[in-house]
Amino acid sequence: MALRPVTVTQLNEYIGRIIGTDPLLAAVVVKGEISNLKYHSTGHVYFSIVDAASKIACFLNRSIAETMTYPLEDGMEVTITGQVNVFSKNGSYSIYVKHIDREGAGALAAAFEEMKNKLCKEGLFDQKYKKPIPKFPKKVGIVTSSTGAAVEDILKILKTRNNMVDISIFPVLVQGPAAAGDISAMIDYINENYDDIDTLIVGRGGGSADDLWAFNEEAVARSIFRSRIPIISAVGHEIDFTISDLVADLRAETPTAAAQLAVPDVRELADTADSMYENLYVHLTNKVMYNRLRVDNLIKELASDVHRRLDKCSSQLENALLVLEENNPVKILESGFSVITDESDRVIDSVNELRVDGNYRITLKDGFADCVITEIGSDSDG
Amino acid sequence: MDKYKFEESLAKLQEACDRMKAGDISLEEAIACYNEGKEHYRNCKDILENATQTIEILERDE
Repeated sequence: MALRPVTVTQLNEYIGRIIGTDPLLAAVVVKGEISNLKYHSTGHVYFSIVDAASKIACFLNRSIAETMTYPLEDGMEVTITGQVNVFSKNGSYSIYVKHIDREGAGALAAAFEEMKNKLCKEGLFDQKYKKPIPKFPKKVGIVTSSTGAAVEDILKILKTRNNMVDISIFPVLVQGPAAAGDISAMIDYINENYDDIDTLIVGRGGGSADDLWAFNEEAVARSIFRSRIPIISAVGHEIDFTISDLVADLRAETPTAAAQLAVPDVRELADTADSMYENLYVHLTNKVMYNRLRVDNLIKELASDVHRRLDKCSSQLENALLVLEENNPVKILESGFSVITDESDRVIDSVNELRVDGNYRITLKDGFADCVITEIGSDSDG
Repeated sequence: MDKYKFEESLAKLQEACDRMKAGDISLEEAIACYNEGKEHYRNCKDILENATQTIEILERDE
């Protein structure tokens, strides 16, 4: 015979009644670490207590919260006394806290410190092992949950910054006991099987310390350290520091920041190329202008040089003409002087050059006369 | 020019700029330098304009 179906409300109310009337659950004492702490504006306090594998929600009423002498903090190790209640609206249960006792530093924080010191001693965080992140990756791999906000954030940034890079998403569990093994195996698997991936982003979005815990586990740290492919870690928010961040080649504060670090912005690159080209063009133009100026100046110089030479020549010519004219024998003849030349047109300027009976020509301003010498005397003869 | 990757062309363009800025370059060299830079610039722009992107989800074989 088929069972008669009940409503969801009826089922939750039934569970609530079972839990609410259980004498053990009415006064539980449980120890764990505070996580996801939220002081609400109403004065009530909401948080979870966790151990390495499990968690339970807690509710601390304002009236009790007001009486506390110290503030609660994430990571604080506490012992809680309270009653387990079912909220039938959500189908969830939580501890209604009646009393809180503080213990020492949280076990998770201690485990973190211990792991950090161990790996640090082995040199896993050494700067010398950090691989450079490629500036122009062809393909970026993302190791994260396929459903979280992180993958959306990363894809959004990658796509808006760079339409050239190919993206491979490798889904993994990012919280819970199996997460560390899954992340570690995936990083190893990618390194063995994909030689075309230039950069890996490994991470997840924000969460409580225990949500992020997988990224503090040794297996993940060792896989990151082993990775041939450079890794950018991107775990949680700015304030979250994990072992993965310390081992990775580069730590990004958030998944969004990781995407920004992984690929160059192509619009910026285009702008850079534009300005370089412009620069090149301006320099060439300047060079051409400069050389044109140089050529212009040279031709001007050449022209003025030629002019200077021409001027000099013509003034020399003028002077020569002047001298020539001043010494023009015709002028002398015009003043009443005459010239005696011999038969070979040599000018005679001394009686010593004359012979008696020799034939000579006397040239005057308006003609000449040939003559024969009859007698020769000198000034000294008186 | 097609054989150059984007980053190589960008580097060549930068190189051309640096060479041009050096000043002691002759005019003929400057013109050659400009032409080379221009080719690389065009290659960069071509690559950026014709870029295609693939996004895939890959599972690990257990």
